Amino acid sequence: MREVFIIGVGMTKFGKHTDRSLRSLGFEACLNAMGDANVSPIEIEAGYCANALGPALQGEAGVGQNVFWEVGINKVPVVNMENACASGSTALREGWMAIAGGFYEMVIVAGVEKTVMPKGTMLNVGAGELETRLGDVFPGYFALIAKKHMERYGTTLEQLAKVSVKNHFNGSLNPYAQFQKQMTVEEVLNSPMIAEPITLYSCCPNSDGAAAVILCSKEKAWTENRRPVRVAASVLTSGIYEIKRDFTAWEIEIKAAQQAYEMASLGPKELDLVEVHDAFTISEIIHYEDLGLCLPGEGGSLIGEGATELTGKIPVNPSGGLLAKGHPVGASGVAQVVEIVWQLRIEAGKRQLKNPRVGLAQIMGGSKEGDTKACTVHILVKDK
Amino acid sequence: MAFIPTLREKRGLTEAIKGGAAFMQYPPQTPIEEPEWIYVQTGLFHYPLLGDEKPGLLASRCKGCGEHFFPKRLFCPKCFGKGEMENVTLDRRGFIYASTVVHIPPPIGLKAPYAYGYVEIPTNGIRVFALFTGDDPHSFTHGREVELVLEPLKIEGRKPKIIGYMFRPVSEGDL
Repeated sequence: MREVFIIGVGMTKFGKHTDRSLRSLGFEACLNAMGDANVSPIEIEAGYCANALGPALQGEAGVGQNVFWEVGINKVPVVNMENACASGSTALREGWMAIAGGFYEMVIVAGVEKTVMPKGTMLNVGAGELETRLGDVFPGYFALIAKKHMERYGTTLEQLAKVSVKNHFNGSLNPYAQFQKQMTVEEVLNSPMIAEPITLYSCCPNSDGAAAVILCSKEKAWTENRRPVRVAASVLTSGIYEIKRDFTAWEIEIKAAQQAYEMASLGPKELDLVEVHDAFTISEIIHYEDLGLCLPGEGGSLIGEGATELTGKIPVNPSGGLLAKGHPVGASGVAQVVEIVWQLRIEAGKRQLKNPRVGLAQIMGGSKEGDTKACTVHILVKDK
Repeated sequence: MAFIPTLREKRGLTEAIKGGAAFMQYPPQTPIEEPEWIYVQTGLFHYPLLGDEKPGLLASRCKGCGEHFFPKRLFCPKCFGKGEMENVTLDRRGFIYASTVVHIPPPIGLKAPYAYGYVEIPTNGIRVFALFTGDDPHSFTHGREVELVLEPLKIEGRKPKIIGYMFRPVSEGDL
């Protein structure tokens, strides 16, 4: 297996882009990534584009070809990827495999999405699942998980709220974030109840946006004054769908993390920053535990003592995470990696961490029989 | 063999030729009368109930490992070829494993607030996703004993009604 490097990253601001199309958002992200890498379209040998809800919300399929042609990429293989919230990171893994396997020297990976809905409406996704037909909603599923975690480990409402407070603070320092306003524990707890104990500001928003990265082989990476970041691990798992599973952890996430640490030959103690799938506050707390940042049941106290803040021992979601940066579904997994690359290259502006070397990105997607459908873990390393 | 068109095909062909439309169109369907109710999903339970029949969820049980599955499935994912599935009806009594009260109407249009969660059925060693009914939404807490009922989903003005399954508190008179 060959080493794979990221040589260019780009994204749009996440938020409400009512008057812009998927291809317009994708164009901006791809152009930024190509400019950052200093590559022309002719050098790109394949394209992987993630978009989860275009067919349902915009009636647009084959978004990849539309987006890549805007930046002059045609004729080469283009693959459209859908894996729910893990679509972007799944596309990244496909691109990584193609280079690691020796098929191409340079590829582009993009994630594009528009999910902003009229106020007060909820995304109608997963309508084919029995649970959804009966009235299950995503915040409700995570509410059940939160309740089990609180019941078993004594995790408190205040600890849950602190995740949102931390991520909104980080988002306030990120010009690409949808929300750039700080929030207090009281504001999170007193926001409208969605599904007990999940309040409105415990949920990530619907967002529009796009992100893109350029991947290449070692030969291409260390030329043209590039500042490559190595993809040290790329792992994808699917659910176990065991209906009697333990709600307080995701077994497939633990498995994905273990595989990724093994692949990168390092452990959680060597991580300098982490971006996780904080679709809801409880998710981030469980991800701390599943990724081994702390022991099972200690996620609440990890956020409580501030260990995951920008100044803590292991900063999580310095970008603001999904809670503050926003969650354009197919773009989120790619945007996490964009943030890690910026941090490793010391380009993260006001939210810059002190000389980080290793970053981890985790995201999961979909819901089936009380489990998640997909989980990815990527580890990025700055070698020099 | 000669092609002898049935009456249905004859009508279809005539229509197609008449309309100059795509070849081999079928005759337009006579509008079906709208039913009063539909299933939330077919194959989950028997409805309407006959005589003194009790509501029950239809499940599969693997003869190999004894595992229950709801809704039914064709293969046991664990035993695969070695397991043969048999049809069983789940015990209608269970205990709440997890619950929440949702305060916003879901896309299907249920009236909020409403309660749902997972029910464990010890007799069958299975956990089932379900809506809760018949009491204050906040009363469905972990460990409460509940029993199955078949009821229309509480969606105002929805026609036809959607018949789903729900769990309600165990009624003392029914013990």
